[in-house]
Amino acid sequence: MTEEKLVVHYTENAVKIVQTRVSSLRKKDILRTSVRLYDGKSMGVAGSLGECDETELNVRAKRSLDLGIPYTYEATKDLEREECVQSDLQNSAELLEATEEILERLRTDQPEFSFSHIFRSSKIESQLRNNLGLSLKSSRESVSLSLVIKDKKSSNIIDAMTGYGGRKFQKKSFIELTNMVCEAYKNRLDGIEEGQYPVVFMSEDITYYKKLYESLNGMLFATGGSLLSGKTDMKVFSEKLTLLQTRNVMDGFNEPFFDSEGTVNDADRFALIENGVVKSPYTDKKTAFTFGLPLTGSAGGEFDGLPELGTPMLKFSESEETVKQLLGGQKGIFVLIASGGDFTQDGHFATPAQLAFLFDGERFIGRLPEISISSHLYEMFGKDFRGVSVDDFLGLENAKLTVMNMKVEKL
Amino acid sequence: MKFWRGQYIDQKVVKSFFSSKGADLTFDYQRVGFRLLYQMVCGEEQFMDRFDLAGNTLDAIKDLDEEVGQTVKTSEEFIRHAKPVTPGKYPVILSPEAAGVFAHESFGHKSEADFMLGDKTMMEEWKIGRKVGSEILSIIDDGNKPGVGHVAFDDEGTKAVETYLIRDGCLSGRLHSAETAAALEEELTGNARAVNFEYEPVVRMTTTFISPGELSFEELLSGIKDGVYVDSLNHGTGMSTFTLAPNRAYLIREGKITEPVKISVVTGSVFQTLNEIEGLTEDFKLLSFSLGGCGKMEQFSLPVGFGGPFVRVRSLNVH
Repeated sequence: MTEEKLVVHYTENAVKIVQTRVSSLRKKDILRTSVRLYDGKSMGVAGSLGECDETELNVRAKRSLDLGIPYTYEATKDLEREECVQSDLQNSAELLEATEEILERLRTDQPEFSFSHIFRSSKIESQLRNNLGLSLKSSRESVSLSLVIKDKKSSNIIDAMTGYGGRKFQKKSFIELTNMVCEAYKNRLDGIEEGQYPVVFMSEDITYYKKLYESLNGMLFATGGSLLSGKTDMKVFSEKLTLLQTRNVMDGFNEPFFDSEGTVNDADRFALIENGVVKSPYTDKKTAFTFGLPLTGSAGGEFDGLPELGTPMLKFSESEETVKQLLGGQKGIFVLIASGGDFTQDGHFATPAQLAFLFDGERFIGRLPEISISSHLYEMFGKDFRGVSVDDFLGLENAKLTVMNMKVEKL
Repeated sequence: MKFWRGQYIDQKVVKSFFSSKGADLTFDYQRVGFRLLYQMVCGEEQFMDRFDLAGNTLDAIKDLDEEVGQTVKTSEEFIRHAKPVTPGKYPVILSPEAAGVFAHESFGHKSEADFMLGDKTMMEEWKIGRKVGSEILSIIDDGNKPGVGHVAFDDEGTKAVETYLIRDGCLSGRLHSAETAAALEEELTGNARAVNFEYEPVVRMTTTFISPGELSFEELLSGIKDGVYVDSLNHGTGMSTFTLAPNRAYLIREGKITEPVKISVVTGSVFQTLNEIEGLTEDFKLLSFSLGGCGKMEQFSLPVGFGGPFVRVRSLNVH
């Protein structure tokens, strides 16, 4: 019998902001523990919140095992690793003080706008151990600053947004970004002529690549239901495109470096698409072993449930060019808010861009009227893919930009 | 059908709420749901669709064979025949599902009073009595309705009430927590909800729907020469421009629903669209799904119900 224990300890300080004032401070300290029992045919799981009686958890896990829920895959074994990553502002008083400083500055710099939402610092400590020599321990701290911006004269709920997440408190850059967004918002530009333009997204904005999540799902991929089914080792995208499944902390991933089955990748990354060539969908043990696919370590699930294929963090590899170089002297359209668009089943993409700025590679020039942007999966990541910037926008952590040529129309 | 996944979910929650103001409540909530998600492939065409139904008792999902079978057949017809839509402006008929999502996303969120706190412009814009939509339009939020949006008492201990957000085209009410009701000097509505114990209650919807009209479905269709019928959705959003991402949609020609079409997104200006609602059927449906729900800032997914009649909108952008 294999016995495994997962412990996740989450702590958080969160300052809520309403109308450019601190509204409340929320503190979390949540301990989750689960025990898993494997007998080669089934897995039994039991979990608990807070301090728990492990003997009782074991009894419940055994009862769960008796239900015979199939899980025939071997537990990960003979692997040890410990990692501890720290960030700024873990102390709630420091976070509160930092928030007050920023809000005071924004009240002065941008009196025509109000700012709401949340500044947060958190720590996720996770341990996965079993009696086969598995001992993984991950402790990752992070800080995130996120503001919803509202023009005081507007009747919208949200007019713009700003934010970043990482390890460092980058006050100066965050204020610079927020001021830049507000100033560009105020500068209303005339409409642009319809046509093809370089369109710029924050690289992590899932709006423009959610189809890749669907297409690279191991179950869909292997059963023939994905646009990329049967295309392993085929070059279907631009040479410039490499897409990684990542649990690497340097990519802004704050959860543990191991997945819920204890799988760990070299450098905590796995290339799913490499230089335009499809290498593998993302998989957990069940998907990998059922269909003979590489195991990419993408198991998720509830802490007190059976591991199952989860949705990993995907990241585009950077090019060697800055965003200014990727624009090649042209003005780009920076899409800050594009809410509600989607891909059709065959890969056509269209979305309204509720807030887009004309962008010269360094600064937002002004606000464009609402537009519609469209393309196709194979074009936007194929011939029209310019690349991902090597530089972080305004030096903010994890603020890479993706540039693609897309069709732009008036809404 | 290349891939399918069936999910059954049941949940029973017993909540107790006590406050220094004398509240002492214990109540329960339960839901049960079934979802079948499937991917179809036909030649080069691919299509993902689902059957999803939830309710408060097991009866809600019993004896579904025929209904599930019919949905799968509809999906099969869709993948075999769907063609890309010619982008443009069309009169659009929304199914109860699409109408409910539209009501929730385009207007429901704007009725959440926490967005108005300390905001003079919003208070001015959202003055009760202001005309915001077509005269035939009424939108209601009511936590008493059965389904996954049933919230007998909210997470501040307030009993659910029926709240007309729009009545006969005019702004009639908004959704409140204790904080927002006190600040705006309005009555409590029972809409303070937390997604789970980790979060504080904020103003959220419960079951939000468009109230029915008087037309038959045939009457609603009649007079549309070239239009679009949105049958089911993947998702929707509702900023100044709302979006509906259809899963199944069909062309309407000469007052009849005809061939299936592939559409990535349907968009329109929220306020223009509210004023362009020109027909509602008597036939009306409230829907509950087993998975998914509403997201607001950091809190998601909160179970909500939604629905309405079939709704005809004069003109929307179809892409």
